[in-house]
Formats: sequence, structure tokens, C-alpha cells
Amino acid sequence: MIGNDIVDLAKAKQESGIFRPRYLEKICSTEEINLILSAAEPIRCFWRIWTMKESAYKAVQRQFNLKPAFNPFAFACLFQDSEFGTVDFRVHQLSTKTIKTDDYVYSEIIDNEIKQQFFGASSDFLLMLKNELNLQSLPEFSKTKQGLPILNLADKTLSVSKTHHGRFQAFQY
Amino acid sequence: MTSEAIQARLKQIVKPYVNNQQNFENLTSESNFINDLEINSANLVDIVLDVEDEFDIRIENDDMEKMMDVEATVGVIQKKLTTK
Repeated sequence: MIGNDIVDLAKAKQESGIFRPRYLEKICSTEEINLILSAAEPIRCFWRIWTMKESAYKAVQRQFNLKPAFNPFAFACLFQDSEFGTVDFRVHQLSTKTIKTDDYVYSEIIDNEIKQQFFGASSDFLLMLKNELNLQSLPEFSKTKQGLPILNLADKTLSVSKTHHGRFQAFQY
Repeated sequence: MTSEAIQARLKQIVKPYVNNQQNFENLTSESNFINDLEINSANLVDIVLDVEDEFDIRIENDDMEKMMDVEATVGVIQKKLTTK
């Protein structure tokens, strides 16, 4: 499974009022709100939960061919430590890994398959893949019927989860 | 309130969050917030809260789930206004 999500903390601070009334209640369970409010850094804790939910949403949408829906409440987060956690969705449990820096919070789904990450601009990512896979030309992004990104390579398609927020862009494939 | 009137007010609400100005100018009832207007998903909650404030309604999770495009959102607002 693939799914990833990044939040540029400077942009998020400008655009999202996470402490405005009813904001957290629209996204988080009571348990998650307690985690946030008791955290040393509530804002980064919130964005960790948000990016965990978004990564899990992207992963199950792709895996189970689900219709798009805005239902962050359906994804329940638990922390194992400051990096690893789980997200429960219906009967499924997904594992996540989160990186927090001063500038961004990034989460991705982890499972038994080894996946790769690339941090940087889309053009650099495509160029890197072209060289790595010895392609004749740059691969091009297209979308599945549900609107999820895939790359068309010479003889096959490659599923890619991409995320872009503010100054940051990341790919998992 | 007519759906046209609701859509006009909704257009003003989503404006600050839009990343695709061309699709915003050509907004229709079918415009999708994420795919067409390129609104960041983190801002969908801000839109839901702005809608609540603007129309003085409260939106539960079941309804919020549908609010991915203009038509569905107008539908949710209209339903809430008639049961107010």
C-alpha cells in the first residue's frame, strides 16, 4: 500500500486556524484531541494526526477503490512512539511513519513491501526515475479513474502517491 | 434560498483557498474542490466551518463527507436551511 502526506508548517499556520472553535472536533476523536492538547507541541501533534489520516485515506482509497469522501473522522490514530503509529479504518489497521522537522510534518504508510521516497520537485522526481529505470523519455503522470496519480512507463504503469503543500513536495512509490 | 444564490455565496467562501484561478472563474455546480479548484484537503475543514458561520448552520460528519464538490455542498446547505 502507498499513501503519503506533507504539511508545510509555515503555510499551514497562515491558512488553517486549527484552534478556531469546532475545527478539531470536525477531524479528531475525543482521544485524539486529548493527545493534541496534552502534547508538548500541540500544533505539530495535530499535523501529525492529520497527515497520518490523509496517508491512510489515500492508501485505502487506492487499495479498495473507494469513492472520494471527506471523512477524517473515520480514521482513528494511535501513536506507538514519536515516529511510528497506526491508523484504524473500518476493519483495517495501517501502520505509519512520521517525520517532524521545524519546517514540515510528513507521514507515510509502511507495510511489508519496501517503498521508496523522493523529496523534491516533480520535474526532479521524473528525471531521477528516467535515469534510474533507464527510460528513453521522461515518464508522465496521469490519473486513475478515481483521480489517483500513476506514472506511465514504457511498458507498465507505476503507482505513485504524491503530496505537495507550500514549499514541500514528496513522492512515495 | 435558491441553489444559485447559495452557490454564489459558496463561491466567495472558497475563494481564498483556491489554487486554480482559471477553474475558479469558470466555476460550475460540478466543480470539484480538490481536483478542479486544487484546494488543499487541509482547507476543506476551514471551508466547512466558514459555511457553518456564513449560513448559521451546523454540519455533521455524515454531511461533511459529501462536501467534495459545489453541487453536493449546495445540497447539504439547502437541506440544513430548510430544516432550520
